[in-house]
Amino acid sequence: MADNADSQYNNSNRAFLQAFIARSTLTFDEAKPLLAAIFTAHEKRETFPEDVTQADFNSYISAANNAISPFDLEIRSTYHQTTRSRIYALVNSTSDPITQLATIHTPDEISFLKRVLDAMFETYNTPRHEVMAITSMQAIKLHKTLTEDGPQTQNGSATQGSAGQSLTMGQAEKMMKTLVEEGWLEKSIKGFYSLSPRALMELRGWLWETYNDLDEDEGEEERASKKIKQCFACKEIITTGQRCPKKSCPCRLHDICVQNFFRTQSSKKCPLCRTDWTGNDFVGEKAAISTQHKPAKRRSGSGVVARRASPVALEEDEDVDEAGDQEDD
Amino acid sequence: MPIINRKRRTQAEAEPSPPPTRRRRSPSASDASSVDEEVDGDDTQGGSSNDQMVKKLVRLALASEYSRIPIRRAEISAKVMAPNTGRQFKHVFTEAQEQLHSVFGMELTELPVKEKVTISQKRAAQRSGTQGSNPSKAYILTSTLPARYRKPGVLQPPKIPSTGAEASYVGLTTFILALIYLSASQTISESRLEKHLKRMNADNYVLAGEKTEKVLKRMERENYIVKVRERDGGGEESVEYIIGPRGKVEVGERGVAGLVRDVYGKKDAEADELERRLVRSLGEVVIEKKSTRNGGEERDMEGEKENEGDEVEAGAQEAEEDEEQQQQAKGRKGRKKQTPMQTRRSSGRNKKRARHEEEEDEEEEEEEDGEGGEDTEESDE
Repeated sequence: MADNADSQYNNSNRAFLQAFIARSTLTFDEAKPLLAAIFTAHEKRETFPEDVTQADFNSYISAANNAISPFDLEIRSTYHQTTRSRIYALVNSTSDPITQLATIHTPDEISFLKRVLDAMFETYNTPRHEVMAITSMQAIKLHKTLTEDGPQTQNGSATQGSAGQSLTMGQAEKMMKTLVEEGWLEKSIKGFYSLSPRALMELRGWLWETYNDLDEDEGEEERASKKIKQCFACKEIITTGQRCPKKSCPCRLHDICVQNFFRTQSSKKCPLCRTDWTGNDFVGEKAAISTQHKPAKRRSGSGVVARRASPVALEEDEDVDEAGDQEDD
Repeated sequence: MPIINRKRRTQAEAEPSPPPTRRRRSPSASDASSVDEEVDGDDTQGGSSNDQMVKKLVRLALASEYSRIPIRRAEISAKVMAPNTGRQFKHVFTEAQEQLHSVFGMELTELPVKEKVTISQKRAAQRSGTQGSNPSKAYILTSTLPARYRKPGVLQPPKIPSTGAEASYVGLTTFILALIYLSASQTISESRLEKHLKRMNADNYVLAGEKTEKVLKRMERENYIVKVRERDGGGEESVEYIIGPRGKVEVGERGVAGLVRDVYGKKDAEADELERRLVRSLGEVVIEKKSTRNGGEERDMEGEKENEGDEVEAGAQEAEEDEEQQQQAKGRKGRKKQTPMQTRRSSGRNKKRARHEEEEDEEEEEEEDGEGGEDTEESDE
């Protein structure tokens, strides 16, 4: 089929590709009016969006993919972690100095973004609270470069000219907003920024390599402490969903994957360690919200206080109810 | 923090560079692999490295266009060409053009040389003997798709930073270029442009709160317009805007004519008159193929020049007003000319205040005109 589409590669495919480049992401619903407009131009008679089929869309995607792969560009698709709608993005599959031009941001802004990512996947992604998201306040606090916070202790710092200058708090705030507009970040109702499906697609390899670079010979225990985890069911990176209640267990599932997954299982147990799956242990911003009610505990340092003290459990249950309500919407 | 000595990369670079042995397929649409190696001489570059350079050039072109940077010949030599392959440049370039065309429906277009406008520039050019004949050696990507594909439904403005912002930027840019194109000798003084912008309520802030000054700077940086400062004999400084190389390529006379046609949208006899005036102002290039007109106005453009200026300028003014009219949703016809109350507007106000004023004084039609102005222009693109 692909070959067939390739041999007929024509202006309608080129128009589709140009439109894709301008939009950077597409869903089937977004593609319908676009393809309708292209068909209308191509066949010189009116085509309506509702006449566009998934097969049309797929054939255009695959034709475009074949055409651009020699240039190390690729159309990837993933499902949105919460809505499960399928999203296609045109991503650059290799990194070279040439494509570093392809940003409208200054090096200082990029370095701020790097700090935000570090915060998402390091600071706010601890074994106990895998938030993998950041609030506006937390992000703005990162406006300064690390070098200004104190003397550099890392020997690697010298090579990082791109650490650059600090942003002002205003610039940092604006940058976060811009990143949302550009489709790199998503902002939740509760004010948490997290990576969008598009960012996850484009940065998949980079995130994996940057935050999970452990020595090969590390044992099972280390695997559990990988910062970036996959959903056990769909194998995509997970930044929001549910987790195994056992802290050392690396099993994670998207909220939507959970339903399908346990339907085929005899019992609701973690597929890896057979612990009972509670559904109350979260990855993503819900992991943070359940901690916000107990600032005293956060101050008390890591790993000392037993997390399951009863008042906390109560509060968490409330959160679950809240969250449940939202999902029903 | 351990973060620090990690590899630092930007968004554009998602994955590590693959080893040189990466896959290399040529799209069946073009015969990329059947390149003949007649050029190699003593530098023995195989066809594979040629392909590699073609690929790099295509990627460079796409990446540069993202930030509206023209690619220069020197840059191609430095970033794309392998050492000692300078002589293959033409070959690689042609091949990349072919690929861009067949896969993406785009091509690299050489920008026209920046005009030598000021006397000092002209003198410098004369001295160095490079009057106008040198190519600019700078290229931008343009679409080669037939016009019927270039519809807003297909090619919308880029999403980065946001579709709305890009649309309004492109709209305002086209509008300003139209003003310049339709002005006498295709140059507009800073004060005159300011006056036009003021009537669009875009003299201070445009485009979702961005400062006009900043937006003009961006147009300058992206080569849509060129700002020319010149000191005349008396030490008076004059600032003029002229059409920049990218403006010529991306918008050009045809683009301006399209804008004017859309804005006027006249029928029959009036349309003929409009076409006649367009040809007079912009030249024969704007004649549309299927136009019923026979392009009759064959006259000596040089001879006309003197009084042409005034007429055309009036035309520009009218075009602008009509544009405003169009923006008021359902065209309110026959609005009066600008009134002295214009001067009442303090220069430091912003849109919010404008809205406020508007409520106070319903009769101020112009206020409404300017309101929300640039956003609706996108329909013209």
